[in-house]
Amino acid sequence: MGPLGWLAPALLAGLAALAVPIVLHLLQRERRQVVEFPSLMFLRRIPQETTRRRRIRHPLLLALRLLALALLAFAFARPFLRDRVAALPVTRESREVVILLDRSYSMGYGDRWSRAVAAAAQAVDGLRGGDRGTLVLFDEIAEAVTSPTDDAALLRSQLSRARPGAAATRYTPALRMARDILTESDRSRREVVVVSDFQRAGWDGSADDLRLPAGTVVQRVDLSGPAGDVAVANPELTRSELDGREALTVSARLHSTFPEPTTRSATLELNGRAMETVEVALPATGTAVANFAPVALPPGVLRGVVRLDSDALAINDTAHFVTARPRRLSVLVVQPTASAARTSLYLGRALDLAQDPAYDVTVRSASALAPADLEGRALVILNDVAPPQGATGRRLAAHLTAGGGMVVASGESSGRARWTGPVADVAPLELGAVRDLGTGGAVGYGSVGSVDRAHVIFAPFRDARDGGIAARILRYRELRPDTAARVLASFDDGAPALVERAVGRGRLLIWTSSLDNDWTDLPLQPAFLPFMHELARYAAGGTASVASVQVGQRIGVGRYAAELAGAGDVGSSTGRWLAVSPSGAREEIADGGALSPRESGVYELRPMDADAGPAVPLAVNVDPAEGDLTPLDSAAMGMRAEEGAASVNDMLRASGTALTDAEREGRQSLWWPLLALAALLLAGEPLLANRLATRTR
Amino acid sequence: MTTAVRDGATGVLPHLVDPAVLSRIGDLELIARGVVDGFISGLHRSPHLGLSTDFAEHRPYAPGDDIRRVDWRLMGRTDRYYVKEFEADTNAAVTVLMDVSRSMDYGSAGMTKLEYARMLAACVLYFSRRQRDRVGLALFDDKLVDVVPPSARHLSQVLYSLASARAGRPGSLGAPLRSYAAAHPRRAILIVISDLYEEPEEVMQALHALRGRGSEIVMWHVLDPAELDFPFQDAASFQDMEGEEVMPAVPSQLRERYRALLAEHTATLAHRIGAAGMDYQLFDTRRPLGEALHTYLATRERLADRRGAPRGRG
Repeated sequence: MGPLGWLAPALLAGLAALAVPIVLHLLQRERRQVVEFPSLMFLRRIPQETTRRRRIRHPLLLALRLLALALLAFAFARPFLRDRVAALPVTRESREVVILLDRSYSMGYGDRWSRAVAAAAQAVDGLRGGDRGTLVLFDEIAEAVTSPTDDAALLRSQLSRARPGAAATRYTPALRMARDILTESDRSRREVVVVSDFQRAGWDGSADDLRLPAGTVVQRVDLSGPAGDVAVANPELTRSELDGREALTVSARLHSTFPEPTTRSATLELNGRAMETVEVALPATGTAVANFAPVALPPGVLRGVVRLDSDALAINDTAHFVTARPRRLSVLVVQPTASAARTSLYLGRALDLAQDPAYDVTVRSASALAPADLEGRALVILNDVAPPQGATGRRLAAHLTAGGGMVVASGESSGRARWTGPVADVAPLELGAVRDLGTGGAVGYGSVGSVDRAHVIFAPFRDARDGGIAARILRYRELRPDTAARVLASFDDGAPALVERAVGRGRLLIWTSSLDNDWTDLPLQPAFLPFMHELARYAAGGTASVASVQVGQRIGVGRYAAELAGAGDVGSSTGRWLAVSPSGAREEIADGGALSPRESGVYELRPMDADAGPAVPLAVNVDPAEGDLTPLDSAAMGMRAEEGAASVNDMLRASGTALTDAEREGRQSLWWPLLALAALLLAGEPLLANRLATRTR
Repeated sequence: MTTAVRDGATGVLPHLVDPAVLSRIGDLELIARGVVDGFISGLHRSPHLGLSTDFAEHRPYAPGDDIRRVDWRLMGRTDRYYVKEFEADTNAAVTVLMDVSRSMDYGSAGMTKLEYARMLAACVLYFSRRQRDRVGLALFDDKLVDVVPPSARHLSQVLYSLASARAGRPGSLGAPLRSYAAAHPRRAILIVISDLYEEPEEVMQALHALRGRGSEIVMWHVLDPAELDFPFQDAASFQDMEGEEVMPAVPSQLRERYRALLAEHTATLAHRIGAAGMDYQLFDTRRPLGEALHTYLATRERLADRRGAPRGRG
C-alpha cells in the first residue's frame, strides 16, 4: 500500500480521458490509409506544410490543458496521504490536539520509547498556526506537562524531558483528561493522538462509557509489535521453623509472555548478599515459580530482592521485598449469642489460618461483652450484632478513634437493629431495611458487581476477571453512606456491599451482607479466605507484613513504619516523614499522610524530627501485569470516530489505522489545492492560447 | 456496327460516350471503328487529307504533260494518248508513342489512364488508317517496350500491341523517345501520349529529340480526374506508384496548393510545347474520345496548312 490513497479511486478513470485525444491521434495514424498516387511530384513540393500541420503546434498549451484535466481527475478522486502522523494537518481549520504519550514502564521495551517520542514529535511538528497542542504523559495517572499551547518549542522541550516510568498503563485517566481538555477547547477541530503500545492490560473497561466531544478524531500511533518478556511478581514469603528458629521461605512467580518455552535464572539476595540462584524453566506464555531454600530469619528488618537475568524490559526483572518478624494481632469477634457458634464459624476459621499477620481470635457474645474485653485489641468485629451501648460502647468508640479497627457485618439477628449509641455518635451511619435479592432477580440471587480494584483489600483479586468476589448474595442490609464513607464494593444492583469509613485514626468497615452462609455463600467460596485476611489486616491497620507494594499504591507511612518495626519501636513524634525514592527524589509526608511511590526499588522513609530513628525501607515493585505486552485485540475493529458516536473504547480497540480513509481525506483536504490549481491553469489557458495564436499569426 | 456501341440508355453516339463505358468493350478495333465512324459521319466534309498516288481518271494527253504519266497500256489498246490522273497520295506516317509506365495504371473514374490512352491511340490510329496514313506504335516506360513501325498494313498489329500493353515499370520520357527518334528518323506525325510527370525542361528536351528531321509532334497529356482535382478527404499516406516513397498528407490542407502546382505545370507545358511549334492537349479521362478526334483533326488540318499540301478531295 503506497503512501497515497484515494477515496474515490474509480474517478481516476477520468485520467483515461486525457489519453483519448492522444490515442485517437495515434490510432488514426495507425489506421491512415495508404493511397497509391501516380506521382508525388507536386506533393513533394509541399511536404513540410503537410506534416507540420499534423504535429502538435503548441506542446506547452497541450501540456497545460492535460495537466489541468489531470488535476481535476486527481481532485475528484479525493487523494490523501496514508502516513499516520506526517499525514496530519493540511486542513485550514485550527485544531486542538492532545498528545497522549504512554510512559508506562512497558514503553521501555526495546526501542519503543524512542519511536514514541519521535511519533509525538511528529505530531508536534504537525501543529500549524492557530493550532494548540497539549502533551499528556500517562501511565496509571495522566499528567498534562503543558497546558494547551501553540508553543511547539515548549512541547518539544517537555517531550525531550519525558522518560518512561515504573507504573502500569491505564488508559482511562488519560482519555478522561483528553476529554476535559477538548471539551473546554474553542478550536473547531479536535484531535487526540494516542502514542502507546496499547497493552491489553491497560484497558480495564472503566472508560467504556467515556465519550469524547463530537467530531473528535482519535489517531492511534501503535508501537506494539512482536514482543516477549519475563517478569517477576512480588515475592511470596512463607514463615516456618527451621532447626528451631524462625525461617523464611521466598518464592517468586515468573510470568513469561514469550511464545516459546524459555529458561531464566533467578537470584535471591537478602540484605545485599546473594543467597541462591535457581534456574526456572518457563512454559510458552505461562507462569513458573522460583522456589528458594528456606533461610533463617535474621532479627530486624530484612531487605530482599529476587533478580532475574536482564532482558529487553529490565525494570520488571527485579522484585524487592522488605519484611520483619511478624507480630500477632488480637481480634475480638462479637456475635449475637454464645450459642450462635455458626455465626462466627467461618470467620473464626478464616482468621485462625492467617499467618501474616497471625491473629489471636477471641469470640464473645454481645450480651457478655464488657469494656475490658476490648483492651489490647487491634480489631473488633461486630458479627451480626448491634453496636454495644453504655460503657462498652464508649470504650469501642474510643478504640476506633484511637486508631483501632472495626468490622461490622450484618445478619438475621442485627437485621432490624438500629445503629445508635456511642459508636454511632462517632461513626454515624444510616442503616436501612434488609433487601432480599433471592426473590427479585431472574436468577434468584445477586452478586458483588464491582469492587474498587485499587484498594489494598482487593489486591489479591486484582488479576481476577470478575473482580474476585464470586459469591451469591441473597440478602443484604441497605446502607446509605455519608460523605466520609467510601464504597469499596457494590452489589450488582448498585447497593453498597463494603463501605469504609475513617473514624478518628481508626478504620470502620461495614460488610452489608453476612459473614455466615445465611445471606450469602461467600464463606463457602475460595475468595472468602483472602478476602477476610485482607479485610482484617486492613481494618487492623496492618500493612507492614506486606512484603512489598506496587508502584502507585497508596501507603500510610506512619502505620507502615509502625507495623514493620513493631509498635513503638520506630516512629516520628511529629508524624511527618521524608520519603527518599530509589533515584534520590525526596518527598515530605505530612502527619497521617500516605505515599504513592512512583519508582520501583526501595524507598527510605525517614522520620522528620530531631530524635529520628532509623530509616524504614519500603519495597516497591512494578505491576507485573504491565509486563504482558499483548496489545489490544485489533480483531474487534469496530472503531469509527464518527462525530463522537463511538466510545473511546471502540476507538482504542481499532486497528493501527485509527483514522478511516474518509477521515484522513477529510482532514487533509488535498483535493482543494488540486482543484484550485486546476482552476488556475484553466483560467490561464485562454491567455496562453491567445498569446500563442497571436504569435503564430 | 455503330449501333453496337450506342449507348442504349442515352442514345448518344459512341464517340461522345463516356470512355469508361467504352472501356467495357474488350475489342479495341470495335471501339475505334465505332468512335471513328460515328465521328466521321458527323463531319460535313471528307476527312481525307494529304496526297495520294492512287489512280483517279484518264484525260487526253496535251502538249506539256509529263510523258511519264502517259498510260501506255491504254494507248496500246486504244491507240490514243491518255494521261493518268492520280488522287493525292498520303505521305504521312502516324505513330503513337504511348507511355505505359506504372503511373499510367492509375484510375479513379472507372478506367485507368492507360486504358484511356489505349482507346485514344486506337481511335486516332484507326482514324489515320481510314485516311490512308501509315500507322505505327511505340510503347515505352523508361525505355522502349514495344515498337510497331509505321505501315499501311500494321493497323491490326498496332491494335494488338495496344490491347496487350501493360503498365509495369517506372517511366521516363527522355531515353525512350531519344532511342525511338534514333531508330526512326523519317518524318512522321508522332503522337506522344503520357501523363508527363517530369519537369517541363526534361519534357521539352525529349520532344525536341523526337522531333528530329521535322516530324510533327502532338503531345497528349492524359490525367485522371483525381490527379486534376485531388479530391481526397481523409488524411492518408500517399505512395508514389513509381517508387517507394510514402508521404503522409492531409488532402484538405494542401488541395489548393496541389491544384495550383499542377495548373502551373500544365500551363508551362502548354506554353513551351506550343512555343516550340508542337501541339499540346490535356486530356481528362472523363473526356469523350470523339473530342480527342476533333482535336486531332484540327491538328492535322493545321499541319496540312503548314505544309501547304492539298487536303484532298472533300
